[in-house]
Amino acid sequence: MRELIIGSEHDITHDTGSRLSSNSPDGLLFPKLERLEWEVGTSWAPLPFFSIFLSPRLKRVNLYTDSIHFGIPRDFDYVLLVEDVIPCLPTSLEELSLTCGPWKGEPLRNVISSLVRRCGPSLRSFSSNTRLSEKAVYHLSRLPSLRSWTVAGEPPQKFSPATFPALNELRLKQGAIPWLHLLAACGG
Amino acid sequence: MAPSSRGVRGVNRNGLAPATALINTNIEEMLELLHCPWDTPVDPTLLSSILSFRNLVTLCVGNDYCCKDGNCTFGLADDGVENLAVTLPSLVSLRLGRVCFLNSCRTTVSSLLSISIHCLGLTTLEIHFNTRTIAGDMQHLLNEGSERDEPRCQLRSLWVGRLPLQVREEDVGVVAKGFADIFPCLEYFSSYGRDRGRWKRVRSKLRN
Repeated sequence: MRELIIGSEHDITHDTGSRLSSNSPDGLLFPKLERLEWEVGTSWAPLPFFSIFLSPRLKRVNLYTDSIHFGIPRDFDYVLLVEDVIPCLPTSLEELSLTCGPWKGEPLRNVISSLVRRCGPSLRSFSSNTRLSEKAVYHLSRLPSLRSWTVAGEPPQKFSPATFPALNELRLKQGAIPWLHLLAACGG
Repeated sequence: MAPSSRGVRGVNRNGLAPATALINTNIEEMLELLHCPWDTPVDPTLLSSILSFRNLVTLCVGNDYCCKDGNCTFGLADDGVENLAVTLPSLVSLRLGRVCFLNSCRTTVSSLLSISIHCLGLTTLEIHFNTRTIAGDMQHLLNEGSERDEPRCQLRSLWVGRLPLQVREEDVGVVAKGFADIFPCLEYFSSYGRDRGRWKRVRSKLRN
């Protein structure tokens, strides 16, 4: 199998993840997997077993989490789990897309900003409802493959115009219109 | 959206763009899609920033609530829209807020003509335009038409929402003829307001 799409309606329970993990030769479920698209549903239980999908041939990973919202404490845990997944991604990865759910508000700002800073040059698309820290924005602005960015909230106060060398699609959420003026000034 | 043919700036050994690249930013060339939030007023301030991104293909300002305190906040006039159309000729999809029922904006069918002439690839359009004097405005455009032979965009459906259309029965023909002149491929008005029937009558005469 080269492509695997897991919709939110096909949620994998912790037990299923555990069984899949124990039955996977060499710890890999699909050694030839090149593309993984996963809309995480009502449970993040399978995320600890994420490594069974990490084929060395993996080129594209999309993680969507738009359909869930449990409240801040559990959202917090979820982001930390996703953050743990990022360093496990193979070096062959060419495209990583992350949609960080409906979470918003200052309590999650630090963890999502930290998640952003873990992302490497393969990050192609990033979306969140949370205003990011100055360091996270600076990191994003230098990623060479970031083509699509959905941004929430105002720019950090100290942030100066930056590169975004590949940015092709910009979606501004409520309160983010100052980004437009900042980037327009940056372009000029 | 198809990947841009424009190249990506050089990266360092960590795979990140070097800090020196901050000086040479090229975002105004790269950006092809821009979505603005629902609470964005469509006005000259917004327009001046948008016009920095000359290669936009998709521009969407999702303003569902332009009617504030009984007044429409759509703040562009025909010259502003013409400036937009001239500056952003690559537009394929243009949505500048949700067309409202107040019919008090300063833009007219002249804005539609500017967009059709300058944005030849346009297939989706939603923009405020005032219809209070639409029969006279269309007649004026048609009278000038003999001097124009510019090609037009291929737009087939125009979103008019709840926009009123108070025209006399004898003027329906000139309004339809005007729309057909502006958008030669137009087949349909997306209307759900009180004057839906009048829009349907104009539609029925588009091919006459």
